[in-house]
Amino acid sequence: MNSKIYSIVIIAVVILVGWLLSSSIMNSNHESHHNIIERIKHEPYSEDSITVSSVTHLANVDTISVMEEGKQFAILNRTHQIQSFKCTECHNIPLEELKNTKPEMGEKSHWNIKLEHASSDVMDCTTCHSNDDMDVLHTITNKPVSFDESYKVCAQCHQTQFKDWTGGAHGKRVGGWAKPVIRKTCVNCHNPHSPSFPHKLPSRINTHMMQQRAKK
Amino acid sequence: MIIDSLKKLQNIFNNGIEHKPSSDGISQVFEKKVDRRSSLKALVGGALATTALSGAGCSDNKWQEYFKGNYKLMTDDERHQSIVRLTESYTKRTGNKVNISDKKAIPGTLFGYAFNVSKCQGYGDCISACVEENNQDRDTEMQYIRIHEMDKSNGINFELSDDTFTHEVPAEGHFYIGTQCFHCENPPCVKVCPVEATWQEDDGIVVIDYDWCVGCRYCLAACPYDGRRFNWKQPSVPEPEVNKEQHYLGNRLRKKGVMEKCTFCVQRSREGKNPACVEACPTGARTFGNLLDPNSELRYILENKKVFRLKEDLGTEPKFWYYMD
Repeated sequence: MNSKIYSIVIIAVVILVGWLLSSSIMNSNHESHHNIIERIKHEPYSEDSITVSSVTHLANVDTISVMEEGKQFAILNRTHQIQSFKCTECHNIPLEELKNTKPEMGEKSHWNIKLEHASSDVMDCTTCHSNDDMDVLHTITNKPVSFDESYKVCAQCHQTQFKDWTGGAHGKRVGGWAKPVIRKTCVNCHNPHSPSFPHKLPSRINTHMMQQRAKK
Repeated sequence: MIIDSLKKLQNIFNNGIEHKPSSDGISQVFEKKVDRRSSLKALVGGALATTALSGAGCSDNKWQEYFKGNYKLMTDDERHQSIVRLTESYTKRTGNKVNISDKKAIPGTLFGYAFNVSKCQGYGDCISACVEENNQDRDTEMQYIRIHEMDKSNGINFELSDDTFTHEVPAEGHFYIGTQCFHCENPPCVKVCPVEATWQEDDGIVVIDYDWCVGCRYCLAACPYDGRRFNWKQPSVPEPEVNKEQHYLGNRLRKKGVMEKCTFCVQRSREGKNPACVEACPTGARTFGNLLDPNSELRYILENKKVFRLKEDLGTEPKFWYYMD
């Protein structure tokens, strides 16, 4: 009888000590978390402690603030970077009329633009550019979009990429990881007229590694 | 006994400059509570001291550099003095100035990294940027980053991958995966170091004290990801190419016989910038940021993408996630 009571008491003590130990470890530091995901979910975070900024090291950047998918961030100003903006300095008559009067002009002035974006059945110049007002782009339903916000035109077809971009899973930041968030837009990386990346040789070839691999 | 006499000797060499007891790294290391590891360290320290004594003709600066403490044990003042010595010696050698920082981890940061496998094209611009940023040895072409070209039909198989490709990329039927130090939350390399010359900082970056490393390469063997590199020779970087913006635990110039590796560009990341590889990548395959910030890009990726890490079953908890579009 006595031994039964003793064993129950011993088991109870072992359980109690085990529980005390585990709870004290749990409260001690980050190592207690089961894994890294647990840690980052539960560790308190305050933006105030981050004393660095992503723009300290940048010279003046010309940005525009936007709000997309419930997220506020900045993008780079585009119109100031387009060399021949405003377009209406040349395009002062409707495109069709311009084509009819000076057929050779189009090819000469935009000789470096080759449209390799979807098939010609899907897209031509006026899918994005406005016939009536060359200084702006337009949506499929013909609503004007400024060159600064050209990502809105891209987002019409590329919805997945657009959502990933607003969250940060697609595209690049300007400056660094810290706040404020300045994102490159679609056209800062992709040429809208031929958006895919080129094939090229690797930027560095490691002859030492090649020799080592060849020995094996 | 030995400790006392060593300290006396040091005082003599310092021309009678007064030292507060236990203010210098040596005494901190030597007077630490003695367990097996510390006593081993004391032995190593003693051996080092003997070597240094034999060359007693050297300058005061050199003497103090020999006898400075482990970075973790140095006071801010000692760190500063060491940086002054290192900068002076560089100027003496080259006539140029370097700017070595000892900036500490920013409270509230835990750095992590994400790599988009669908986006990497194998250009290797990251490797170039890394080599230039981190003053890696040009002679042996040391590179922290590897880009592995994988045959799509083999899936992710590092044994069948090629990390020395020289053809035009992206090659037909192939995809690319980059590896480097993953700054594991549970780093095996740190555990095996017999002299505590490598450790994890508060912002999660695994760093090396290049002046405390004895070059045993245990960490190299312990790393399951080929993240660490060893200097088999004195690393050389042509003087105009040396990146002068340096960090004590980051890209400052190394010597023969010590380990080095990716530090998430500690000299950049603690200033709010992205590591050089992230900045250089033209395809946006690389994302860096603060894991603790719930609004960071990294957290978006972790919560919205199908992510994976390499060798997760080892329990090393790398802070480097891969994902696909």
